[in-house]
Amino acid sequence: MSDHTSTEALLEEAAGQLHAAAEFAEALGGADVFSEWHGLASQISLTAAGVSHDPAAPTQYPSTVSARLRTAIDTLNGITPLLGPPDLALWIWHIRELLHLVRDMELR
Amino acid sequence: MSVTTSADLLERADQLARELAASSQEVNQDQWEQFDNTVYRTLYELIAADRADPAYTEEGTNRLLQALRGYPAPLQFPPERTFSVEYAAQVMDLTTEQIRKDIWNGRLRAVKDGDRHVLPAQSVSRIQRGIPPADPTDPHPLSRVSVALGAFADLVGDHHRTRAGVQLSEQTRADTVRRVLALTAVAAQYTVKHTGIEAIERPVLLAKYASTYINALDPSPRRIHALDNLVASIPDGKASTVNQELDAAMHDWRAVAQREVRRLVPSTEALAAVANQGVRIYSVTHHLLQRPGYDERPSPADRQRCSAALREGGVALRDAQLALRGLTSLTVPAHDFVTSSRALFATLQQVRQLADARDPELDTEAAIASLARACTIESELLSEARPSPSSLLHSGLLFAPARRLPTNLERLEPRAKGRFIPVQLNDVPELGWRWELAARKAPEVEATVGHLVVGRDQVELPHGIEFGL
Repeated sequence: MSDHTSTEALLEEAAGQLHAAAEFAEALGGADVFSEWHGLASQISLTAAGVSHDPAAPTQYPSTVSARLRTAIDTLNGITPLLGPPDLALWIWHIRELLHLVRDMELR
Repeated sequence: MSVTTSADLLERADQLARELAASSQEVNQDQWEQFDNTVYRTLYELIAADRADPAYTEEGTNRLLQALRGYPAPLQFPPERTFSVEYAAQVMDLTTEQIRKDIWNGRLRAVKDGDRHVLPAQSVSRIQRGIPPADPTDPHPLSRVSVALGAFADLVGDHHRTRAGVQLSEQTRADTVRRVLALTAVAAQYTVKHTGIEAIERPVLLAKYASTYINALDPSPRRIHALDNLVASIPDGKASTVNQELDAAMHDWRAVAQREVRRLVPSTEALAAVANQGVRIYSVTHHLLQRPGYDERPSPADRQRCSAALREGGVALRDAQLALRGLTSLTVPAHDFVTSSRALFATLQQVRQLADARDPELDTEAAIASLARACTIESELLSEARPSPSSLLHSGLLFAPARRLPTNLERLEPRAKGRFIPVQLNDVPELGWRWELAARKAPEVEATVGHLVVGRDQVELPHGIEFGL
């Protein structure tokens, strides 16, 4: 596998993990249109669109939204800096900020 | 002998920025200034150091030079450079007449260059004392980023001055500048969170600058650069209460959301996020209105009507959002939009929590008035966004993975190869209608909520909207 293919695969894997986190948040919101979890899911999907438009199906499904976000961060951190997109560090930052928000929500 | 290339140093800086994001150490003023100064020096070396002076000082269309000129009033300039009166006026926030007068009166040192005056770097720099480079022995994660970035800038600078090696292509420069801006945005946002409130103005400026120009330098052919450059508006006021934070977050979000929906090919995820943000606004408005103890001025009937309108509007906007699920225009949402969306979401959460706790820090009545304003913003945004999903669909610019769409003969091959294909009208027959309905509902919500706060004068301040006495 070339460096480029490997990087693309990791970006798609991370996007898949983000989508899995968003789906989990959607499920927590249920049928309540005003649920804050739906809002969080939207923020996660927005961020996932910056990572890759072609999310790969995750191979693991941690049991919390925050754990799924952490998995995505770990995957992106596996990309060698100069092989990834120029703004990768900033996308990782966005996911970290989401993680702070989720932790607050999960604690309530 | 060990060899360190500029790529090694940039990679090191990028890696350290990721480590910085994962840490929680406070940043002091010296560490921030060293970083700020190092970033400008790095951008200067990458963009301008090997160019002729006129290209740097005169107006031009080169996007990299525009990015360098856009740097918010650099703390210090490279000592060997001189600057035109026009450029000095821009960075010192003065008119060219004032600069010329100061030169004439001897208040500003200038030298003659042919038939014009130019100003040495020291005359233009905001900080006259020297800013030392970051200490290589300082274990603070921000200092480590500054050291790696500074070493990178030194190497690029040495390359220019010795004229050795190969010239960087414009594409390589742009790519490298975007990397530097990305780690600048990370470090600046980190500093905003980990420094005193009195010292956040400069990091806020740098974070906005970096996010704006990362997008402006995006090589995507679908981006409209001119529009991207229009919105780098930077508020100079600081929010000190949660009510002001709400206004400021809305103000920021409106500017970047408007730009997102006006993009030639808008991001579907951004459009969905605009609709979803509306649901959040309606949700928190609904919550505050229903909160026991809220001022009884609106009659129970008015409140009930408002509650029903908010819920109906919420359902319409959520349906519009969900109609875009799984579809993409393959356009990446801009960083500043992602940041502003998250910031508004977080602020709305905070407002809701303070209301639940009946915290006196929150002025509930003012918050409801602000949310009424947010309903207006949402209505305007949806009105602009309404035709976009259908336009994307009819232009063949709305895609989905073939495996997610109904199969027919033509789709067998792309499905087998895991490709994206354009979505057809019969794949998403309700898409246009859902957005039409959302755009019709939003003004109804706006009118109903606005009815509750009528009579309050709104004043636009640097941090957003406030209400007059």
